[in-house]
Formats: sequence, C-alpha cells, structure tokens
Amino acid sequence: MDAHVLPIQLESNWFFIEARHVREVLGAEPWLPIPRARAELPGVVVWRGRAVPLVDLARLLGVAKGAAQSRPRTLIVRHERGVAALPIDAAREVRRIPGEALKPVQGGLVPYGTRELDEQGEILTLIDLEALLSDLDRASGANGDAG
Amino acid sequence: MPAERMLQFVVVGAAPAAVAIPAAAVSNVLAERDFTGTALDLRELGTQRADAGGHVLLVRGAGAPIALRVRGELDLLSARETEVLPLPPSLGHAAWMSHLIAPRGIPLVLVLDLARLDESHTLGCPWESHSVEPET
Repeated sequence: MDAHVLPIQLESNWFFIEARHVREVLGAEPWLPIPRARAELPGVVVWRGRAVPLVDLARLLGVAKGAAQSRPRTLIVRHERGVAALPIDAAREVRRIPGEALKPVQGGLVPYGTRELDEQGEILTLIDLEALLSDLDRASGANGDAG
Repeated sequence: MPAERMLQFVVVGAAPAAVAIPAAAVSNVLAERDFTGTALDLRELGTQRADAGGHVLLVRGAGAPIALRVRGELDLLSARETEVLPLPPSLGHAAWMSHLIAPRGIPLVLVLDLARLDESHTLGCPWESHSVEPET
C-alpha cells in the first residue's frame, strides 16, 4: 500500500513521518520551559487555545546539535493520546511513496525507524511517530491525554 | 453576552521562570524575616537571582494551610479564564504545575498545582520542608 509521508529536516538529516499525523506546519513558536522537565519534553507551546507539549524530536532521534527552541519551524502533530509540537528545521510537501519502494530498515540505527527509502543513495527513514510519542508519554509518568 | 470571568494570580519571579499561585488561595504574604515555622522551599522557582527578596506565602486549599517559601519579586496578574489552559499530564505531572497562563496565545507563566500539594500533604513532592526562623 502506498504511504503518504511528510519529509522533515532535522539538522542535515531528512526523515519521513506519516502525513496523517500532521495538523499544521508553523514557524518558530514561542514556548515556555517546564521546570524539572525531561530533556525530550522541554516545554510547552499554545496551539488553538490549548497547551501542547514541545517534543525535542531531534534529540529523540539522536541527531540534535542545536537546541530545540532554535529551529525555525514547528510541526503540530496528533497522535492517539493527544497533540504535540515538534521543532524542525524544514518540511517539504507531502509525498506519496509506493509501498514497494519502502524497505524494512537495515541495522536499526535510527530510533523508531520502521522503513526506509533509498533515493539515489540518500536514505530517508520513516519514523513511527505513534510509538515514539506513546513511549515518551509513558516515560513521563502521564496517565491521560498527552496534550 | 456575559462578561468573561477574570482570574487573579500571585506571580513569583520573572518570566520565563516565574510561577503563579491562584490569589484566592493565598491567605497571607509575609516577609521571610517575619515568619516562624515550617515552609515548603520553592526558592528554586521564580528567579535564578540568589539575592532576590524572600517571602512566605500562606496558602489554603481543602486541607491544612501550607506555607510556601519563595524567592523573587511578587506581582498580581489578572487573566481571562480562557487564557488559563490545563497542562497535559505529560508536562504537568513531573513539574507539579497544573495550568499555563497564556494571554493572547503567548505562554507566559505556569501555575503551581496546589490541589496536588494539598491532597498529598506534600508527600513525594520535589520540594523539601524546612523550618524558617525570623531574623534577629
């Protein structure tokens, strides 16, 4: 089955996330740090009248060089337990990738990577955002809505 | 159309480290030097300035009054009810904060989770209780 994915850039790396999660791509959003927060959940932003956790996706994927707050775009995503804001460096238009072009990841070097596309030698990994955000929720001790 | 309800908060410190406490729960504000007793030490919140002034806020919920030792300037803040947003548990739980005050959608200050402090009688909370003696 074809996959509809949003290419996103973190540092010099490009990843895919499933387009069904994406609600909005915003510019750099003002955010407030949370005392004693996990480094992966450093703060909170406001989106459409609700407080939404800021998730440092680059740190979770092991590619962070700069701080989350310095990234010029903010991706608003919905998952099973709520909404999250992900600082990113850039995003491109949603793409439809034929299912057979996405291969199982080799070596598991990217956390939460499920499949990958070899695009003329450049490997783009599809991230399982649902699993990533659910794990983060559990690790943060939350029992209810994550956002 | 009925006027939107306004909520009042006592704010300790300055953004982005400031913390707010519902003003209705604050029964008294004392200079640190005028207080004798045991207080929960919240001085890590509010400001990073070690030389900032200290106060003890006496707050009351459903249970016994709690004394909160804080550091930093005190201010009063009014916010529309719709500007006081509940924090998702993934953020609020570890920080012991319940809400975010966000005037015009800009995140400004977090609100201390007084209900949780009250329910637990501070059990498991990240701040320790210390006795505070008046200056002589």
